[in-house]
Amino acid sequence: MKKEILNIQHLTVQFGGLTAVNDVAFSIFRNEIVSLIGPNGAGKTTIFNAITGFLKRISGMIQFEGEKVSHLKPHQIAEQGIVRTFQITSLFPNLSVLDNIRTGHHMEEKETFLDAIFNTKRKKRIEEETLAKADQILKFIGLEGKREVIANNLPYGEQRLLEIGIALAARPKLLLLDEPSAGLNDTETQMMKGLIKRMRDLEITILLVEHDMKLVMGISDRILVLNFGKKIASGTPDEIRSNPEVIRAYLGEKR
Amino acid sequence: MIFVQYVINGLTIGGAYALIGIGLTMVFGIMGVVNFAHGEMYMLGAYFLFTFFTKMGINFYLSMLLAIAAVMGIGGIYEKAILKPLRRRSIETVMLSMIGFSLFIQNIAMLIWTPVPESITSPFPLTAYTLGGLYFLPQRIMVIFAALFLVLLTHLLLKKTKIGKAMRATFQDLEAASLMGIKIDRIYSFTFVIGVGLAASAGTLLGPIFTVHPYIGNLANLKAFAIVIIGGLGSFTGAITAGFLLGVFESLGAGYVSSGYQDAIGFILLIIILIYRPTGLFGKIGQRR
Amino acid sequence: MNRDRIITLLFLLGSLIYPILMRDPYYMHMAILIGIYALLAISLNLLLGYTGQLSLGHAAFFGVGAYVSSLFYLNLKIPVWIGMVMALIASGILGYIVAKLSFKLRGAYFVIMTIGITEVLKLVGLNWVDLTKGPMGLTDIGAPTIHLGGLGTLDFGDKIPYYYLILSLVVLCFYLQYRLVSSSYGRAFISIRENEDLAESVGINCYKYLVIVVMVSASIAGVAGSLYAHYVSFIDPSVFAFFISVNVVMMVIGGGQGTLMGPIIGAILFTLIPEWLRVFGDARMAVYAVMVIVIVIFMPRGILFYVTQLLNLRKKT
Repeated sequence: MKKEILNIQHLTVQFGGLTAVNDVAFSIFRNEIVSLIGPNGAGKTTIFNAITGFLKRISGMIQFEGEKVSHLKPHQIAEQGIVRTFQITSLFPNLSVLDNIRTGHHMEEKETFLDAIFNTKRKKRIEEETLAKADQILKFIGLEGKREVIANNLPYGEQRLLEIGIALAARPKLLLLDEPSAGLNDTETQMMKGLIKRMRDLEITILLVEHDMKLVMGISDRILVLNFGKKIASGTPDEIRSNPEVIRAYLGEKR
Repeated sequence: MIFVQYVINGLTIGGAYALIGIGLTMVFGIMGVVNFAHGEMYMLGAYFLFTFFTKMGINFYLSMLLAIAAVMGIGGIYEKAILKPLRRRSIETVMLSMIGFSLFIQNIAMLIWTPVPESITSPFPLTAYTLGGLYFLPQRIMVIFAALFLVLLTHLLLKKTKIGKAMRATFQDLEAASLMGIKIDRIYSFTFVIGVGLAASAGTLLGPIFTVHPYIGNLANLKAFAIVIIGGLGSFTGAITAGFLLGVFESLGAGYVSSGYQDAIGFILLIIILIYRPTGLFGKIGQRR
Repeated sequence: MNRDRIITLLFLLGSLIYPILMRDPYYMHMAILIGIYALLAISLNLLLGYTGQLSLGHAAFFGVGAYVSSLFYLNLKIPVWIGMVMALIASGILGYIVAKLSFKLRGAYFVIMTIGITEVLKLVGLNWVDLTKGPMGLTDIGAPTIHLGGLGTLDFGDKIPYYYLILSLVVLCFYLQYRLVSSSYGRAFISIRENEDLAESVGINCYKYLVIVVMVSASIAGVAGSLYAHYVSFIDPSVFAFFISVNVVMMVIGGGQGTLMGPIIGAILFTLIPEWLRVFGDARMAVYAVMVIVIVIFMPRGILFYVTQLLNLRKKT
């Protein structure tokens, strides 16, 4: 029985006179991998921003696990279990790889102010747990050898992996990946594909925005297609591949 | 009746405020630079007028023009030598360097002109005209007319000239403007020199009304920032409105409440705007949280 | 025991025996000022160095601390210690207000807000003559004393006891800074500096942590103000001077922002430098201004960092 985890109804976002997202509706079910595709400027990242609370004025309804989350602030959305990555490389640049991931784990560290000041046993225990979890994630994304490297100094491909590591540290139920394969070569994209599948194995539901059609077709359970802010198609990769409207929208798009 | 008198007095100071504000908002808006040394340009305008007019006896209006030109020259060098190399640095670095420069300019002024406050005797008669029970000091009348004239001039510059169009394009979208062949470096220099010139003009206008000493730039600076933020970053109309509003509010505050807290009025208005409408009266409200 | 710990302990040892070696009142006076400034620098380091928010209004907290402490002592005749606690609370509240007013403001807007608030407070200090005696200021602000029953009274009015009082507070705040920074609070502060949007997306409530850091920072600065007032026994609205705010920023940046020892080194450097610059006479502040520019542009990671880099280069050749 497929359980609905995210439900979007009548989502509309306007920037001044421009309607970036126009009455969009869709659902995501537990443990799915869903891809959100569409030409540049179709409104995909805007939808991410709307879901994760980064926009002030949106109309419509966003429900997560039955709870209305439309009006929540970004950190509250994360507390609910929705974590996102960003289109442009987004790290804590001057911190080490390990500290980047430890920071991502913040929500789980229930330290009080007094714990911090008096270095209580509780704090020490929390520190140990965080370190263990961080090492676990480092192994999962394949960066255990780079523990102490400063994030800024990582090669681009590894930076993108670290971003996912940080998001994982926040223990997401639903993970929103914004163009995870942007700028990656074929080998790296294959690794990313494997990583996404392994995350689904961890019972994480994944919604991704992507331009790489090979990746999208190869990994998605379902695909949502956006153009000019409107949802124009939704279905399995095979259905989308042969959809005339989709083909028309993409005329001229690479890959 | 006295209310109207306060308003009129406020409008004259407000006119000068509007000039400083326009200069700063242009630099803020088009160049993205937080110029903490803007107030020092105001101060130098007043001091140059003092030197040319009071000390060297040059014709008053000519002295004003020379003072403005001198400060524009300094501003031009300042932009090329200092602001340009700092363009890529973080906003904190730029702000702190600007503060350093304003401290430097203040203290050089103090060494050149001594910290003893000077006054510039207005060439106009010191008796006020009366009209319907209201008093109009000639110097203040000149200020308001000159301010309106300069505001109009700047408006025409921005709206009707080729370079004005280029400036507006740069303000709207830097990348697009440079892709269209606009020489950004030249626009920046021009903008800065005009902005600084406006501050200096305010200095020459208010110089004969208040005393002149090396630290008058401080207050002018802070008020300029208050005006720019209250009016809305980069908004020409906003700077004018906020400038006149501040002048009037200060005058009313000094008259009805107390003159000691007069300078606080700008900050209080600023704080209120920052809380309720950080984009300013005429600024655009953003979508981002 | 790593190198940093050794250096810190040496500093501590040096500070403890300093009054024994340096009996000259002038050197004691400078040491006390350094101590007061060290508290200010540590407090600003939390806000600027770790959380990444530049503030040019730390004089506001310093000044409020000085005035609150003095007014409680002068008007209510209560022991100085209570006045100091009041100063801590008052500045903390001011910090809370500042944080609330500025919660959406970053960068230049926040800087202007902090400058504006300090200016308003200075004007209040100048004009609310009934309370603050205006430009005349408050005088005869006594030093703290502890009554030790049969053993007599410990009077902190002398330089050496006052020095140890300040030293213990500096050590306390240093430890507080250390503990905060190595906790999840510290990581949250740093995440705000590094990437606020990313921090929010992993559940860090940036606003909450900003409020915490501003309140802690303000409280420590308020205590510094109180210590200053009871030391010089006279204060006026110049405790709100812009120069103080600028100098504290220079301490944090020049000493190395976002490091533990940075504020201490910065406090030493920038308490002494304005004194040494007196040789330039009237041009003193102009030279200081040039230093500000040079350090901010060419040495943003602190003077020590670039000096050691230079020395390392020498070693290689």
